[in-house]
Amino acid sequence: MTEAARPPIAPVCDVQPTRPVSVGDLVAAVEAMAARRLRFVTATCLDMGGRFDIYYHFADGVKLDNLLVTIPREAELPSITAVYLGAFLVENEMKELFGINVVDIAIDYKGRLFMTELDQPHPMAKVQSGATPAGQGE
Amino acid sequence: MAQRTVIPFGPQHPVLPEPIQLKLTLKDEIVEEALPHIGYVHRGVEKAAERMDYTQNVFLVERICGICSFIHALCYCQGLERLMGLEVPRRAAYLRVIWSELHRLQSHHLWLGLYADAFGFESLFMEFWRSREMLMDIFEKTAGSRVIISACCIGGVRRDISDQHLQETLETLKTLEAAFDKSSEVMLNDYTVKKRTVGKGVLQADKAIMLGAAGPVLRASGVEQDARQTGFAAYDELRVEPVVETAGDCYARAKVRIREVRQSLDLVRRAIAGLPDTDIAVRPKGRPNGRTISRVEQPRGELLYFLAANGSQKLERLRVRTPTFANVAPLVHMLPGSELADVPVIVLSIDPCISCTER
Repeated sequence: MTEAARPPIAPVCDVQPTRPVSVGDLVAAVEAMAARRLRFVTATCLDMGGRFDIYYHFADGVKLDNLLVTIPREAELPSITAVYLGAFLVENEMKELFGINVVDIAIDYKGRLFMTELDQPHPMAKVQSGATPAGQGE
Repeated sequence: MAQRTVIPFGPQHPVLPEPIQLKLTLKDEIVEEALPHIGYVHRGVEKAAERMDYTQNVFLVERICGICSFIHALCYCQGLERLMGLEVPRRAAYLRVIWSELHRLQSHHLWLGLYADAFGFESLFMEFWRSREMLMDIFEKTAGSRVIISACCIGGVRRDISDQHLQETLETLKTLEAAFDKSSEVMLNDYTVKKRTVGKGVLQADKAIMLGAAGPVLRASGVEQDARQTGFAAYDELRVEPVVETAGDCYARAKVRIREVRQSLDLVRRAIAGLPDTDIAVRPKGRPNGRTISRVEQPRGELLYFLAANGSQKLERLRVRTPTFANVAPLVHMLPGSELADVPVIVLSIDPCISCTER
């Protein structure tokens, strides 16, 4: 069977357990993870067009525990680096590559973690909303 | 009166095989602050994965890192297999363990050599790298290629290993182990090596957790976590106990890797002894749909892939979190308080892979 002829199969979602939290409750939810001595693994950002889905992954022993925050494109996202300093790289990455407005990152590269002023503003973003013209950077 | 100086460590430095810059603020010879700068080898692999067919991505992710290419492919294929409801034949699962552990062996040998070189022990560097050649020859023999072996595919593995090559692998591992006994003895007991590594770059267990350390860096601080405990591939049958040390210094990180070499030798032997006689792959049906996380243990630590698919030929999102990406923050914590002369050894002790980190 050719690749194009293969039909899609029923959707699977095994990012489990995942607890949705509001953006206002994010830092408190992360503090609760820290109180349980969970290890911060990383965050994953998905550009869903009009919104971003952001997963925060924590290791509970060998198991994962996840938080899911959904925010509109232009909304602010609070940094979790005051709780987990190790999140500074991934937060800078989300800010730079997706254009998420992450605020109060402990070590903020201000859009210059990977990119230079010559790069396109947010290469991973599916919608270049509010983007500065190419060549002018942030 | 103490003077403050800012020294750029890297991006080009004799101990760094790949470019990363640390801006070190020093008070006389003591590091007060370290600020990492990356971005020299960013290739946009995650973006490329959204543009390529999900089957082509196997070849793409193998190229994230030349040292653990097979394990990147394994992590990706494992995630897709979960989304597509595929059960990998047991022989393929065992072969995945064999190639993964051989990758761990060559990666740890590579690191042990570079580490020895970082404190000027060149003959030890050559000993480890000479042994590593035996492992590269095994890859060439069993998969036809020395670096990017392309043995993993969606649904299993692309090729089998013949009985003759399995026997030859076992023979080579005997020779390798004898050489490793001598070299590792020096690494663990030599006066100069201990002087340069004991008590340097200490990371306590609670800090390792809060800063999100991974792999040998995490386990050398006394945290008993190893993604192989999740039982992926054939690790559900070939049980793995995490190798743990508690001192959290450069010496402990080397000791964890040395003990992991012995563990990998044992795993390869057990996997070969218990290799089931089944098919090596199943044919994928349908196209992936949904979201999943796949985790494996690379030589440098836990590797996480997040896959989001929508039933089309292309993935909606592929997120790759490599172990060095996780170990940058712990490194930034280890450096303040150390002497400038110890910085190269401490940096090397996390086994940095910048190609992995930047993707």
